[in-house]
Amino acid sequence: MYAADFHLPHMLYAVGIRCHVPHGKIIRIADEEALRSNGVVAVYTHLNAFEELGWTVTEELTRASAEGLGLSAFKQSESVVGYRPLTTDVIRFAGQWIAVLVARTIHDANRGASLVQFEVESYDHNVSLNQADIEGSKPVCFFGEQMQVERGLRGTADATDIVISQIYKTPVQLHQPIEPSATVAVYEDTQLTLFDSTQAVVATRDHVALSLGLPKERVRVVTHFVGGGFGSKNQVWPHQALAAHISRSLGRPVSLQLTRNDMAVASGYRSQTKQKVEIVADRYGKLKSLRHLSHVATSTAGGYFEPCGLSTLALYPSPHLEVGHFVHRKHVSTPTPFRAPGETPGSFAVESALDEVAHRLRINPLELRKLNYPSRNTYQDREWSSIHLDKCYTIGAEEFGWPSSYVEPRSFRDGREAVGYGMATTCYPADVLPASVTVKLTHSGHAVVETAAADIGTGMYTILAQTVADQLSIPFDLIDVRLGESVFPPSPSAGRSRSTSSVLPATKNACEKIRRKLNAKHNTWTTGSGEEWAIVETGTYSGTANADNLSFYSFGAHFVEVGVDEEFAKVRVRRFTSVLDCGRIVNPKTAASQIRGSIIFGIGMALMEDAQFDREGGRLVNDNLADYHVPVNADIPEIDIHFINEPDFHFNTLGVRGLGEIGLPGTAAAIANALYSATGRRIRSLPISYSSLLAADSTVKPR
Amino acid sequence: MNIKLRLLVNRDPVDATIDSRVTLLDFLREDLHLTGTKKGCGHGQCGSCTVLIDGKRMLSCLKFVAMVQDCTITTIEDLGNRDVLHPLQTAFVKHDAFQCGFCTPGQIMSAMEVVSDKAACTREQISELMSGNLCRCGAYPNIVSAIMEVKANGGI
Repeated sequence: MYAADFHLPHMLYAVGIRCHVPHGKIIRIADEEALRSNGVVAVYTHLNAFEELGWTVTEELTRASAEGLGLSAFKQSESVVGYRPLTTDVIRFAGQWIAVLVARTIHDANRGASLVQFEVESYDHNVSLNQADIEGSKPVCFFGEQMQVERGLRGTADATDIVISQIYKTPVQLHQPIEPSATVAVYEDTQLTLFDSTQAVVATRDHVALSLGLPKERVRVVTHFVGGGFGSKNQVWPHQALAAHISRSLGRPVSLQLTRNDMAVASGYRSQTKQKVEIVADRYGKLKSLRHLSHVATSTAGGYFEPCGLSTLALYPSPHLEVGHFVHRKHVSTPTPFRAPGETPGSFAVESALDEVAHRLRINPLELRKLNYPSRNTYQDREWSSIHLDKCYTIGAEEFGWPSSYVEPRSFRDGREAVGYGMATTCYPADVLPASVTVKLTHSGHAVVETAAADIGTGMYTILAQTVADQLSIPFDLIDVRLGESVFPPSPSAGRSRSTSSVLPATKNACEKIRRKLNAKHNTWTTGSGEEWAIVETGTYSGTANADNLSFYSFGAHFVEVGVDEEFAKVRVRRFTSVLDCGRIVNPKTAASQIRGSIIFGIGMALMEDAQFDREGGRLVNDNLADYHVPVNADIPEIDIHFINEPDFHFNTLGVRGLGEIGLPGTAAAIANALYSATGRRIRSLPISYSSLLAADSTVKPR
Repeated sequence: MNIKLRLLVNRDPVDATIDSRVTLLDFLREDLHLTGTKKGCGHGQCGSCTVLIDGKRMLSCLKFVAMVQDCTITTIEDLGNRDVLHPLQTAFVKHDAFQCGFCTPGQIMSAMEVVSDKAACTREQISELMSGNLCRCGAYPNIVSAIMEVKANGGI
């Protein structure tokens, strides 16, 4: 069951009431009529939430929440206040909850919410990146990397060098998992059970316990299934603790489900970026200088910003390298990691710019990548633990049928469509954190596997069972994997592609301990009977790689064919081939689904996803699935996935890396590059829209 | 305004007195506790709440209960169970036609009509007819493969 499926006796329903202005102050809230409405139990606002719910905001709570992620990247003098709804009359973004209403049924709650009236004082607002955003804040270090880097001498370009200097833009993008976040809180006798839709079971427990002032042991988070997350459920957002506080105050279970509109502002999004990429290359295409300066927007209260330059540091060696990040505070809600954060918008800019270099020099874009091959991580001055990017290029080119020499734009047609080929490289760091897993065996030969990690659709249930089956030679059907409970041994959140690399080695460790015991017992454990555990072992993994002084990354190459109906300026992806180097593949089926899914996110990013603010009102206008377009079934062509499947034993003894995100970086650039190949038109601002295609290219005009 | 409601849900007669403004989706989930039908948006945008009404696929969030008086409703709960899966469920598992699984009940209920649709033969046609059901995880090609297989095996 998903969180919102839990029905408990006497359960109440809470709904948020949203403010329509992006910047201002709450003057008056009138809830009398709502309170008289059928079934309404309570209305909480900043005026009564502290007294009635014990609801407040502290720096410690902020740091343990989504607002806190990235705060440490900024200088102390820039430290921001942190945001929690119902703690202040200050309005920081449109869609902020200014009241929460609780009623006996969801029907009564929705009707009651429509009766709450409020008056606000509206101030000037600024919600999007604009010309005035020049310097901004300069964050120092984020995701373990420096955010302001300059290496080598910029020098002056030789007469035969070429210079590409362009601005690339990506819009606000919404995660919009199909399951809206939901929390069902049951507070009884100073114990809390939270049925919650989260990628981060342990962090949610810790935050909610802190908020309630309870010892962690008294909070139990249950997350058996999560209806997609993509980052939106990887941090802790206010509704999770709020449901718990309301349940404590009213003495009844409380269900708090975000609406589809809430999902656009109350659980993060990918922020807008404006990136300058400047490449100096010699006449053969070898990079001499690579500059990547990213302007990104964030909220007035939080710390998260999109670290666009992460891959740029590591991927293509360049004697001169400059990476900078400039953060601009806007009257918007706090953004948060969205599948391959930083790498995704960053790779659109850099992989597009490389394609521009290739076309300027009339070099095959694939040859340009090979010429600038990252034999080692020159930024970190380390060898890679394992790299097979060359094989990704070779196999991909062969499977796709990539041209062997330079092809002029506008070379291919198929009926109405101009056809073009594009490619891009992807890479993603291989991350790992400490994890622990318990494996229990019954006398009857069944195994139970328990860990707090959540399966958000990635296949964790399946690959854990596979690992135990392999390690202990137990039939797959006799293995029961139990995930997503805070009472199980702690594991990292399902984010940053590190669950496989963290949880599987811990599982292997548990199995090894069991095998040692079995050897001592001469393998007699299956002869007994009854439900008592025959053996229980908890395995751990330190969260560090096997080898020191290496750089751990996954790599891949995308090849795409697009078709453009030039009379209607209509773009479609005709076919897609991707080859990935992500260590040993545990399950080819679920792994291919992860890659295919992230490529589909990339297709959405390239061709349709675009959250827009109303310029006058400062409100996100398409905060729903009708107006914010995501790919549908008919948008998606055949997607051909290949894995190199070479284990990385320097990383861990199973040779595995995570792969939930690597499919996304590079995808949008590969599509934009293919579009250039088809039409000779370079699009540097996503999404590629009919209007952008028509506006700037004289060769693409409606009849 | 409360109305007296009578309908057939998964072959069981249901009688209720209920506010006429309640949607079929909320009625199924909140009153009958049939939570297999999911609420992804509540506004007819995502397809997660697809059920069969008199054998036709419909979005239950866009139907007030007052509109389905005397109708026959089929939800995912009626299709199969853990031990005996419906052919579509078996095919979805085989082809990895879901990741998080949240949109899956809606996809399968929608596919119930598409597998029987004689006009849908090619991957492209099925893909088009399944485009009212969003899957953010991106299982689309696998969903089409699953439906193709059930059709090839003679439907349901």
